[in-house]
Amino acid sequence: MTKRILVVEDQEDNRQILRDLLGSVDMEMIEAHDGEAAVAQAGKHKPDLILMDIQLPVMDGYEATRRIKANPALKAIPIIVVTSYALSGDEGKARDAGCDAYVTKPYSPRQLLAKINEFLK
Amino acid sequence: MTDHAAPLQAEISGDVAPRKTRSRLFLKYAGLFVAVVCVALLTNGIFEIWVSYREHKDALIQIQREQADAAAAKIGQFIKEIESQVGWTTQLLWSVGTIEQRRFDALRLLRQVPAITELAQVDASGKEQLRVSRLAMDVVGSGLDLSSDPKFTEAVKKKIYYGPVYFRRESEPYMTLSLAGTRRDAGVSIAEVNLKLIWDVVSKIKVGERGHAYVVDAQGRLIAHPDISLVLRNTDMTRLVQVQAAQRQEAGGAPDDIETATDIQGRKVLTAFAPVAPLGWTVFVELPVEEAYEPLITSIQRTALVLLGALCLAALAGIFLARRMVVPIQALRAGAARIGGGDLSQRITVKTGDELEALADQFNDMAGRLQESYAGLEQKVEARTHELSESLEQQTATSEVLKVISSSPGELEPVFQAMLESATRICDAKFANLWLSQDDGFLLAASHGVPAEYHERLPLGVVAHPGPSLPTARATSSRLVVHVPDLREDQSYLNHDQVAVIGVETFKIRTLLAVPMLKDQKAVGAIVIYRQEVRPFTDKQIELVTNFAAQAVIAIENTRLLTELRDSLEQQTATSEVLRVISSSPGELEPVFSAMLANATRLCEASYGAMWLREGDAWRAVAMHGDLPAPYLDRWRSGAASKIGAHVPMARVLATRQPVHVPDMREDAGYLAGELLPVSAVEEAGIRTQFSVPMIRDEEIVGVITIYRREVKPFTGKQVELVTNFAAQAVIAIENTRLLTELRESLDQQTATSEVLQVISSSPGELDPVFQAMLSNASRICEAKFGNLFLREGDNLRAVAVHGERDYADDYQRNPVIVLRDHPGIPLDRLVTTKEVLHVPDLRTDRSYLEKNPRILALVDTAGARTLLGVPMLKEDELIGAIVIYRQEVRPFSDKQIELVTNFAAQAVIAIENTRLLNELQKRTDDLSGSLQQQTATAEVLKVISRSAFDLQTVLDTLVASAARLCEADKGVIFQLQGNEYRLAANYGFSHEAEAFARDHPLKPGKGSVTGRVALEGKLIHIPDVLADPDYQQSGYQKAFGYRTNLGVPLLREGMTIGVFVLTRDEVNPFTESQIDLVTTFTDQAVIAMENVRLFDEIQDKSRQLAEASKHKSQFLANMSHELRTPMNAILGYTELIMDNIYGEPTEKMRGVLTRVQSNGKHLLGLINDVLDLSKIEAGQLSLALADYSVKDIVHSVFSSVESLAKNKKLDLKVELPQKLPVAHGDERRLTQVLLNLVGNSIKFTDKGEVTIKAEAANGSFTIAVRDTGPGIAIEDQHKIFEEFQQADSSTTKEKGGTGLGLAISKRIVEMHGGKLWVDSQLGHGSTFSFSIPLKVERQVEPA
Repeated sequence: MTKRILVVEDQEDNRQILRDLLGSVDMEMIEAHDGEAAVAQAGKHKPDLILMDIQLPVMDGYEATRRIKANPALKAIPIIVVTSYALSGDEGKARDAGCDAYVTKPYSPRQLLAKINEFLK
Repeated sequence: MTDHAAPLQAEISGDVAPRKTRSRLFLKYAGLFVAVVCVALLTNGIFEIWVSYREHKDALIQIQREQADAAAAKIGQFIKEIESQVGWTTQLLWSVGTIEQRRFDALRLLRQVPAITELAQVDASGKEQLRVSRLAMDVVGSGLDLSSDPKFTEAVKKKIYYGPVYFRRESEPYMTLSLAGTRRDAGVSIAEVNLKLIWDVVSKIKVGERGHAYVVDAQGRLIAHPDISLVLRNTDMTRLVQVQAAQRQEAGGAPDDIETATDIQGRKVLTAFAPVAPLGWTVFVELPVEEAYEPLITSIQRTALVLLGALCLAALAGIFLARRMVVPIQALRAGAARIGGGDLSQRITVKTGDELEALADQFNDMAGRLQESYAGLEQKVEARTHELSESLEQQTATSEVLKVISSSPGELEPVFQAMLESATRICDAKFANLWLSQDDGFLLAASHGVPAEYHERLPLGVVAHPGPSLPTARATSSRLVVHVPDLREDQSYLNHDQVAVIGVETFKIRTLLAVPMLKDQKAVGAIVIYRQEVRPFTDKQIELVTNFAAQAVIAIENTRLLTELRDSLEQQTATSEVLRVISSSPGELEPVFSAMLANATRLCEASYGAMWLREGDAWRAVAMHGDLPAPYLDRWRSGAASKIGAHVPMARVLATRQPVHVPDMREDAGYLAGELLPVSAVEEAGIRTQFSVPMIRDEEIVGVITIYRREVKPFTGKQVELVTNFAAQAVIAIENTRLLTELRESLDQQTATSEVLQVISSSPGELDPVFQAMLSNASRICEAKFGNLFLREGDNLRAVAVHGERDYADDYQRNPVIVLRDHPGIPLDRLVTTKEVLHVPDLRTDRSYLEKNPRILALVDTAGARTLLGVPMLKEDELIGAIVIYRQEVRPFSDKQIELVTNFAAQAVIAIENTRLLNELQKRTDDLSGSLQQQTATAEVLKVISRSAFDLQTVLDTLVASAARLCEADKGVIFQLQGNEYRLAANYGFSHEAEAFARDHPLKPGKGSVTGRVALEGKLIHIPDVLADPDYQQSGYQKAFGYRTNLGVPLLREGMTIGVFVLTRDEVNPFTESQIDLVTTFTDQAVIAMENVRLFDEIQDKSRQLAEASKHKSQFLANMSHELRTPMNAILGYTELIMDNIYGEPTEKMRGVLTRVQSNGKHLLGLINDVLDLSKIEAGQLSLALADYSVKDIVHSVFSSVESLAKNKKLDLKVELPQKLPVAHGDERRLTQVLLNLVGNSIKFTDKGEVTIKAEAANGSFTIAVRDTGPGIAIEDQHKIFEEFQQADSSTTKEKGGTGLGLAISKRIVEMHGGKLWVDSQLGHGSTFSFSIPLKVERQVEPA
């Protein structure tokens, strides 16, 4: 069965990479460009996994993660935070918000895919 | 009601019970009864009225409603009829029939229906074709267009149309009624209907007397009303609530039952209505309320009358019932009160036959029983009273006897008499005797009531010797009471004892009672009472007499004791008198001796007494007592001592040291030997008996007391003892007197000395009071009249203290200096020359007086000086002064007095010396404490300054406060230069107002103010009085601060006045030189403090700027690296995707290019990461994650990650690890990063050879060293490589890569662990990078 991944990313270039990456392994990709849209899309499509950027317009990734995890219907969806924030404490903040994994940019697409598969298993 | 009940009740119950309670129960009963009846009747009446009101009202409304319905039906019928009549005219079609026929039909209709006044017919198109009228001409075919008239349109629409009511000729109501035909072109008939009939209907409806009906149309307008004027006024009825209610009901609302309302005239009415069915009209019927309720009010009045009647009845019944209840209770109460009051014969009569009567019977019963027990009690009381009076009599007797005993102490006669008298009387005896045991017999001590012949035989005071069988003898010998009921049958009588026989035969004694008087188990006598008839005594009487016997013993004993007491008291009185004399005249012996002799003589019943004191071998008579003949007195009381012969009794006393008692002088050895004293005593004074006692002190006889009698009668032992006692006291008195005299003298001297000392100590350093006290005391104690204390001044003497009368003292005060040169040879001159004590017993015999030295002449003749004593004051053999005192009589001073004055002179010298020393000491102390105080203050100020070096305010406050205090300034301020003005910086002593004034008024350089002047001239300014200074202009300041003297000192830095230190005084009082010096030192401190603070502030400012810049840099780097990572993600991501053939297989050449892109990208990323790390450290954001880790694991993980790199460069990578390494505590990831960096560098820069990693632990820390065989680093470059962006040789950077940040970061991480990182290297000999870290890092070390 085709897995459905929600990618929350405001940069088109980075979205394209993921489009290509996920397309290559037959995964369906849903996109959201900001935190608010992420919460809406998650509720609408019930994806199997969410890749969440942190620095986002309208609502940041921390808050979006918190809201999705606060919804009992979406709580079980694994969220991997993908961010270029690499200062100490950033990961702690993401964990506090409720994410399941934390990957810093730049990531290796291959390694990211491995992480995704780890959660989809 | 109660008002008339109360007097009624009073008549019934009488006046027994108090009036207040009498009416209470009655009122309660009567009131309750009336209340119950009232409530019942009122409830019933109100209920009935309410019900009948409801019924009546409902009936009226019902009637009105029916009337309204009937009227409505009638009106409806009327309209319906007209409607049906007109309906006929519409049956005919316009196409059928002619106009004429229609006209005919119409006329017929008018005739048949009088209410229709006019009928018009309109064709289907709305044109009027025909109009027939009773009031106008008929019109045919007028063609009037009515097609838009409601008469036509509404009729066509609804088949029928009722127009509004209108009036013609202002009197008759009309309405338009139009009807459409049922067929299509039947047209419309319009009829004008006269509604007068409705009016008739309404007017005819009769509602009560003043009620009426009226009709209202659908809009609420009045259509018909008996009062036509209302209708013509087109009255709008909708404001009435009943009309509104009807409209609501008409509109389909809930039926609104309004039964009472207000009519159009404003009266209250009962109202009902009914709708007129087809028209929407409503008929109202209304009746005024007061008319409707008339019968109801009548009914209420009736009920009230009934209620009033019933109340009267209830009141009467209540009174009756209450009376029945209360009267018997009152009777009960009155009866009970009488019984309680003691009238026990009283019986209560209540005949009610119920519980009250039973209660009355119980009361009566109780009263009967009380009466009985009362009678019994009275008898008992009588018996007791009798007994009581008897014993009272006895007690009275006893107490009488006791009274006699106490009133005549020491006298037994009356006591015995009283006793016998009482015993006879109370025991009902004939007579009584009291016997005392004496010399084996009995002494008749007292008797009472005995026959006269009895005393002839046995008088009082005679001792009788009765036979042992007599009762009295038996009583005393057995010590028991002997009670003889009949003497005739007693053994004594039967034995024919003479006394008993006489007693019976002569004195008719029959019954007798003998009671022994016992003292210490011994009979000392007996009381006997006699009766002349045979009648035994009762036990009580025996007891009484026994009691008397005991008291008689006590009285006898008391008397004995009293006598003894009196004797000893007399002696003691005498002794104490002597002692009193001794104590009252201490030091004077004569009165003591006189008193002693007088007492001894009196007490010893002697004729004379004499006291002799021994003076060597001679004796002196110091006191004589008694009326001695003059020749004897003259001979022996001459005051001179006399020698006596050895045979004289006094000489014998001296020889034997024992008292000598001569019973008869004529037979004494001294008299017989013809000694003068005894012969003179016997011959001249007639002395016969003599007793001499020695007065012994310290084993030595000092005198003799002798008492004499002019008859031959030896002195008793007691008398001898008394005189001996007096002799001892005389010795004590003599001794006391001696001691006292000595004591007095020494006390006087000591007092004087101590007084002087006190003066010396109380006024140290002052000599005048000391001298004065000395002189006064010396004069007083030495009994001198006046005197001087001189101090030597060169060759002269100056009087520094004068004692004496005013004239004398004044003389010396005017002219205190004596120039000795002018008076050679006067006593003072001699004193100064000899330096010895000068004692002139009589100045009149002195040489200087005889030579008529004017000074001495004046002294002797004017001032009356006679005896002179001069004592020198010597200090180390140097005469420094003299004390001179004079007496106005010739009486030499005693040695003791001279000694005293000498002593004073010595003390005066000491005092002078002390004063000198003290003054010196004081001065030194003052000097010392002054400078000490300044030093202490300065030190304290410096301490404060150093403690709060950068708190300028505190320093300045301290400085100004300390300076003001030390320089005794009242206030002080410091002004500081700010811009070109001097502003207040510190203040001491000035008020808030003054301070505020100063803050608001900064000062500028100029002559007008002290501060300005100091600033202007750059030097110290001292103005003793600002008000007197011509240049001073700051009157505002002066007023605010209130100072007078001003001292301003400049605070100078590099020649510039940066401030002014001002001290002020409120009074004009210039500052001293030393104070000004002191202020100057304070100003130096102030300058230093200000300078320090300025420098400190500058440094702080700079550091703050630096810190700010550093923080900005770190923040910038962090942001930049973050922004750089985002595009890096795309570059590296796409590259990897392409390499992974996501976009198809790239050519080999493309793959090569991509590999380069990837490696360059990764390098760039490494750079960014390093920058980020560094910036994190700089920003203080890097925090270590401290946990347990294994050093071995770190080494191994680094080894495995660089193994391939080394292999690629064909380098030998070695690890040297000890067997055991302890578990360490720190940030494992960061330490791995450090080691990886070091090993990576080594591999990077080493082209051949080996790289060794070596770890070891020692002394609580471990060390890891990375050694390589690379090019090595020059010594001078070694420090650079740990700085950011530095490599040893920048040319290698391009070749070897690397950011140059790795070592810097590593160094920071190691330092954060509290460790260190270093390098050992030489060019060409490889490098060793080492770092050591404490094994247990518990807290990260913040960068310095």
